[in-house]
Amino acid sequence: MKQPTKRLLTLAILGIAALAAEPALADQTSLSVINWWTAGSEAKAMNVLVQMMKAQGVNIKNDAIAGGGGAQARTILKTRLMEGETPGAAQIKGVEIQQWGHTGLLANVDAAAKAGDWDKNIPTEIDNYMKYKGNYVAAPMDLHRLNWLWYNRAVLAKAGIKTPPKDWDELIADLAKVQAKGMIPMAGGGNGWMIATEFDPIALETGGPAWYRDVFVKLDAKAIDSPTMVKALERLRQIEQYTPKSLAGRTWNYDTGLVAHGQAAFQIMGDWANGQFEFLGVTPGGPKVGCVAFPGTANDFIYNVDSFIFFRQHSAAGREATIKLAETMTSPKFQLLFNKYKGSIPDLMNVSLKGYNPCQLKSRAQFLTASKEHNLVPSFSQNMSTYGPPTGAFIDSLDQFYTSNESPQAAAASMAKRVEVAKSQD
Amino acid sequence: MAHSMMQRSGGKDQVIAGLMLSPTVLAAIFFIYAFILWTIWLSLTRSTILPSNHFVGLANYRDLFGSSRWWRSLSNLGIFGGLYVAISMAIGLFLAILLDQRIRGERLFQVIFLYPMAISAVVTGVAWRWLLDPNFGVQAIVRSLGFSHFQFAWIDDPDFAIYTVVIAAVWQTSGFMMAIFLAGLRGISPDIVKAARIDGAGTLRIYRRVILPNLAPTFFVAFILSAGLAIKAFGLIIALTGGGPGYSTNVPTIFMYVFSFERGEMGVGAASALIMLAIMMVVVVPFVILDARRKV
Repeated sequence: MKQPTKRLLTLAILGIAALAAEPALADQTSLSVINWWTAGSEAKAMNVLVQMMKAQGVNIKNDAIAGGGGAQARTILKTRLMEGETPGAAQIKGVEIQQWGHTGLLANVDAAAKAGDWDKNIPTEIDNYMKYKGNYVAAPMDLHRLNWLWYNRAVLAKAGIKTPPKDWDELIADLAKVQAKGMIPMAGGGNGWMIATEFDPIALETGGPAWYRDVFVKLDAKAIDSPTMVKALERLRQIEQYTPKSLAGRTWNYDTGLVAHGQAAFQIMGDWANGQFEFLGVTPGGPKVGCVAFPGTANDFIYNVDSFIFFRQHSAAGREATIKLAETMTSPKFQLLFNKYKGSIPDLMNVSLKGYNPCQLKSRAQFLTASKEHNLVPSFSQNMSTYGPPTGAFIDSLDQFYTSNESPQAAAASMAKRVEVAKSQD
Repeated sequence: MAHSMMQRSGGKDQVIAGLMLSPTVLAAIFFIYAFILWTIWLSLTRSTILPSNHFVGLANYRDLFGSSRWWRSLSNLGIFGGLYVAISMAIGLFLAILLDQRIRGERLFQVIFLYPMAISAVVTGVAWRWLLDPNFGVQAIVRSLGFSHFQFAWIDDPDFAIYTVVIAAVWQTSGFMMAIFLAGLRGISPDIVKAARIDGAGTLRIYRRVILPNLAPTFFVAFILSAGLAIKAFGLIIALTGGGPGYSTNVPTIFMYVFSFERGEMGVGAASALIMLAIMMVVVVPFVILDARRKV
């Protein structure tokens, strides 16, 4: 009896020792990058990042976690942090970067910003998100425009529409024409996030950039519960009437497919739809599918920027690798390649967009003019304008309005109330 | 649990039994009760994207009960839970009684009825989503048979979508309920039934007066299990409706997930989790007490 027991004990102790020793054996310059880019083209681009880092002697572990618009990825990130296992970088965007700054876990990547001259090459509006208390703690990857209207040329021709709509009344008239021909006028309305994404440009068109900022950035109750909001909600209701109920539960890329294949006339969506059209083999701005600024917002630009925050590393090698990663993410080579796939444009304004499609070129031009004229606004639906809780409050209100017979007046009032409650939650 | 083991025999066995069980008991204490306590604490703090120890009293509960999304989740749980428990138990009992007539091929029927339970909730959700989708599913099929005005688009209607969840959940677990009731029916001694027959009672009366009252413990088990399943339902609803249209099919589990992990309102999420625990207690505890009394 004695001998086997002893042997077992020895084995057990050895096993525990081996487990304990494992982290010490790990490569000092390997960084894990937590993200939710699992779709074909995005995953490809992330792979390029891994290769570029390998060439610099840094081993990147691409932790791509699917689902939930990043909810799962964020959950895993928090779990790792609680276990004391610090990742290299994680996909976090907008105002939430400031919240992560408060935790004191973030690394200072000023060195990378200096090397890449971010101050000069990246627009100030985007830059500001990447800083916590004056130091860079994050790097931007892309620049998306939200206020687009995508349309199928053949469907419009069948409905007798010669040019895409330029203002609100034209849009509604065109939707009616398509409906009369028995085709789907507007693809959308699948879920709360999509409804909010459609409302984004409608709100901007109705109230203009200053009011948009009062509502979605300053969370001003007077601006939220106002006649302007009521009007914007009435317009959302109009769009809803031309969106088939049967698209509930559908994803945005399903809707993009409907427009690509000539089963629907229009879609209101950010230019990640651009990447999806390319993926389906129809180039936007080409003979089949067109893009136009959402009617009434031709001079405005609702932006959405994906970015990565960097975590403080314990080793000197780890810190060095972090700076290299931030530099590579913002290098012209990577940004050009990544954004071409994604349908967005690089954050760097000093690189030429060779091989980009007409819609992307238009996006760059309109960003530059909107920036000069102060018509840039951060997207509320993509979590750029404020913290998670108020954004959620807006989305919940729109959800309830869209899926019930609630009056626009009641919806605007309950929206203001919800946002007020959510303000205490950041 | 350990307690009943101890009663059986003296000294040495007791020690061994205690030693064998201690890891499980310790793990249970830590992983269940310590985490419940931690969740209680979180619900009283301003925890947003990460847990924090900033105490805010009952503010999270105030926000929770001020949220119409939460009320909608609760009322959905009431509608879904009530209908699902009642219908799946009724269908289960009915199937069990039919199978209890010693028919031929009983095993085959048992397998057929039990099979849905073997499929994961997510697969069930996706399959029913296709079936209920007006563009491809039941509505499209019936229309293609020539009934061009046939309407069945509950899943797209915020007022009716919760009933599609009931349909899918009932389909999945009715067979399981049948198995429970069948076991109960087989446990009733044939002598009682024979005695009732000799006294001249008809079949209906025998079921009403003899068999069903004897099934009380089985009803209890079936109810506890299905109520538990109803309160915990998550994957099925996510796969079937994604909690939509809008948030019209949100239930407390989905609310908790969204607020804790997607929205960075961990304090509110923790508060909602504890309300769920309270609901579980309110539903289950009286039955447990009743059951314990009966055994004494």
